[in-house]
Parts: sequence; structure tokens; C-alpha cells
Amino acid sequence: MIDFKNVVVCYEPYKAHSVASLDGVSLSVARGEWVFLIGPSGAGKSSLLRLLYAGTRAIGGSVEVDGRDITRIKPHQIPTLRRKLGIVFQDFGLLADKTAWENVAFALRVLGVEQKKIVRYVPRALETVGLNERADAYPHELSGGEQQRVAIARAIVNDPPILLADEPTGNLDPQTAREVGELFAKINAEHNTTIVMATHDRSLVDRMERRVVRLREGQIVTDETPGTYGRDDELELEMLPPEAELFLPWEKNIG
Amino acid sequence: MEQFQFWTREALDNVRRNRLMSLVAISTVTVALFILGAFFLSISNLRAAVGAQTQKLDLIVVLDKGISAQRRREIFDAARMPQVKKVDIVMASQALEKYGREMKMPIEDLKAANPLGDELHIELRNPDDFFPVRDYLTKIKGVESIQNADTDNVAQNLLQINRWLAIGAVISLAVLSAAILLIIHNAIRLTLFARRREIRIMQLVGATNSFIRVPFLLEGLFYGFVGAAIAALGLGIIYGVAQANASQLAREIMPLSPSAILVTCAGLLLLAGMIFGGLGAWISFQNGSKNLTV
Repeated sequence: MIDFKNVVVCYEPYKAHSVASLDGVSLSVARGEWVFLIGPSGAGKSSLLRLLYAGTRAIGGSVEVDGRDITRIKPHQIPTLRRKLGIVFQDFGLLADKTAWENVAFALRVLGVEQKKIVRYVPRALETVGLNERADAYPHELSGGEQQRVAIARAIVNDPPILLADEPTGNLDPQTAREVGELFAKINAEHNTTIVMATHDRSLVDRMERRVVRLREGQIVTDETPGTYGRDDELELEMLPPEAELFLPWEKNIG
Repeated sequence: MEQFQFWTREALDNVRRNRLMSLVAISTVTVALFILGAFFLSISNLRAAVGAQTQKLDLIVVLDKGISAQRRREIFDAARMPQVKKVDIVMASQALEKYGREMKMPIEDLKAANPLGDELHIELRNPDDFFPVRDYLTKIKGVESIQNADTDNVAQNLLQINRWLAIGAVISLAVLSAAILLIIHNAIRLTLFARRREIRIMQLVGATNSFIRVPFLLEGLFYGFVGAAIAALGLGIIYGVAQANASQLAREIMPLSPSAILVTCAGLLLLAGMIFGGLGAWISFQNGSKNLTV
């Protein structure tokens, strides 16, 4: 389903001291698999996700998505690739002046889907995330968890085979984060959707017991089978969200 | 059809949502096109006024005295060139009577030995042909002289002014057009920035760039059209009032009636507004979308 071979990503490669955000990464993800990407900030988690939706380009190696090599994808081919993906971000990315229903429908409208299909697909997606009752609410009338559910509904409304999530629970309280995690599990189980999720949410990773890929400085450090990834002090630190580092004792910060 | 409805709704929603921005865009387009329209009206009137003077540059060809009827006929035929609109023959006796009328003097004594020859009065199609036609006719045998030769300097100057006006108009219109294009481009760039979140979402769900571009183009066309319509209306009212209250002298320098020029002016403004609006939006999108790419 997803295949990275010796991938190198480098932002501003023309600069003298450019740093590789991904450095020789090789990784395969099978259909229906759920992979967590963990690691400290700057480890390369988001770069790996951006590669998958062609938000950035690899300067070395190859990337294959759903049987298609996208390493040298041309700009006009990117929309076709993205139609196979659902993408969820930490900041929800909802349009403030559209209701939950319209936000989800928007993803179909811009693809030119007919209205009669839209009125069938949107309620189905909202039903999946348990928000049919709040379809007419605007984002500011929804809680953080509900907003993220709308974002998930928008990501899955055209039934994509792959779902990418970048810190989807980063802005949510633990209880809501748990509910959102369960929602992903439901989508993964019912639709056999492949999920690649970058996260700092330790409890989510622990609870779901899925494959965990640990990144550091652009390289894969460990690739653990479900429920078996190791725990150590270093990992405890890596799993803290970036903003938490500000509150750590200074010894740990410089260590 | 559904797509077009979606684009139109998006474009109008955006105009409504960013009311202040839309107001700024429309008013800048209005002001710019108003200046363009006022300039067009001024140039058109000035050219018409100068043109009216150059139309007076007709030629009077005086033929040799006692010329035969056949020769006169040959010269008449030779004078009917493609550049010539009309040729009238004025016989020597008629010319003398006209001279007497103009000078208010008796001509009875002169009739016996009429000092004037037969004349051809030539009206040109285009005043620019004054000199070539005059030079050609001068060389024809049987032509004694061509009157209005002393108007050479006036003719030369009028034609020169008319030519420079045309060149000046083209250059000024080009400069003004470029300025308007920049104004609209900038206005759309601001709306593009205001909608960056929406564009990012459209890009992420797989909308093509051409699809995303359409509402912006419609928005640009809308700004151009509304701005041009307001500018044309304003100009129409001002021009109409000015013409109605103009003195005789003012009418000389503003000879075009509202009905003769305002429809053309409004049509040109609407066309220019929509072209600039569409083009400005296109350029903004091409530049802006590169920076907004996820």
C-alpha cells in the first residue's frame, strides 16, 4: 500500500548547511494497517506524512502509494493522488463560515461530485463520526472534539483507502482524545482503511496497540510490532508534546 | 451546471464575506476606470475638434483661363481619385459672382474680362491626404494654381497635432491600463490571502488548480464589471450635465454629443473592466497559489 525506499528529504537543499529531515528512511505499510509515527519534534514525522500527500518532494530514494510511484510526481497529478487520501490535522482546518454539513460537503463539491451523491455521502460520514445531530452547527458552536470529528468526516467522506493524521489529538483533552482514537479504530476496522498517524499521545499509542515506528533525526530508530514497543526514559521524553518541553527541568532539556 | 453554480456561489459568498475588501477592490477599480473613461472622452473630443478643423482643408483648383471644355473634363476625371470624396466644378462666371458676393462689390465691369478661371472644388475623404493630392493636381497640365496653398502651415500643424494626439492617446491608455491591472491584481491578491485556509483545504482534498482558480476569476470579473458600471454611470451623468450647460465655445472643444460617445465609452469601460478583472485575478492566482501550496 505504502512503500518508502531509502528516502531522503531535505528542506532548502541548495543551502550550504542544509539538514535532512528524512535521511534514508525505508518503510512499508500494508493495506488496512495502522502505523503510529512517534519521536521528538523535528524527528521527521510530519515530513513523512507530507511526502505521502506530495506536500514535499524526496531528493533521494522512492515513494510508492497504492501501487504508484509518486517520487517524481508532476504538479497536475497531485490532485489525483490526494483523492485517494484523507488528511486530518491537529488544527482541524474547518471553514468557519460553513456548517459541519457544509464543511464535509465542501470536500465533495470541489471534486465535482453531483448534488444527489453529496446528500447521500455527507450524512453517512457524519453518522460514522456520530455527529448527525450537529450537522447544522458552525465550527464555533462545536467543542474541540466535535470539530475534529467533522474534520475526520470530511477526510473519509469519499471513502479513501488511506488516512493520514498529523497530531489529531494534540488539541484535545484526554477523554476526547480517547474518543477520537476509538473513532479512528472504528474507521480502520469497518473500512479497512490504512492509517498513518504522527502523534505525541502516549496513551493513545498504548491503548491502540498497533505498529509503532519511532523516528529520530530523520531516521527510523525502531519499528515495533503491535503492542511490543519498548519503554525507556528517552522515549518518555520523546512522547511529550513540543510545548511541554518548556516546562521540563533544565537538566533534561539540555540532556 | 452544478459546478458553475458552486463557483458562482463561492465567488459571491466571498464577495459578501470580505465586504470591506470587496468595497476597496470595487472602489479602486471604479476610480481607475473613471480616470480611464474621462481620458478617453477628453481625447475623443479633442480629436473630434481637431478633426473638424482638418475637415476644412478642402482644395480649390483654379484652371487656366480659356481652357477647353474637353481639357476641363479630363482634369475633372483626373481629380476623381480614390482619396477624393467629391469634386464640384465652379465655372469662372460663378466664381466671379461668388467673389462679388463675398467682397460686397459690383462685378459688372469685370464680367467682360473675367480675371478668374474655372475652378474645381475638391473635398477629401481623409485630411491626411491633403498634401499628396495637392502635389498631384499641381502637376496636371491646365491647372493654373491651387488655392489654400497659403494654409500649408495651418494644415501641417493640424495634421501633426492630430497625429500626436493619436500616439499620446495610445501610450496614455496603455500606461493607465497597466496601472489598473496592477490595482486589480493587488486587490485579488488580498482576497487570495484572506482565503488561504479554504484554498489549502481544496488542495488537500484533491481539487485541481484550474477548479480552485475559477471562483477567483469570477470574483475578478465581478469587481471589474461593477467598477466599470459605476464609473460609466458617473461619467455619463457628468458628461451629460456638462454638455447641457456648455457655452458655445465649450461645445467647440467638446463637440461630441452624449449619444454619440457615451455608449461607446460605457461599452469600452465594461469590456476593459472585465478584461482587467479577469486578467488581474489570473495573474494573482498564478503568483499567489505558488506561495499557498501545501
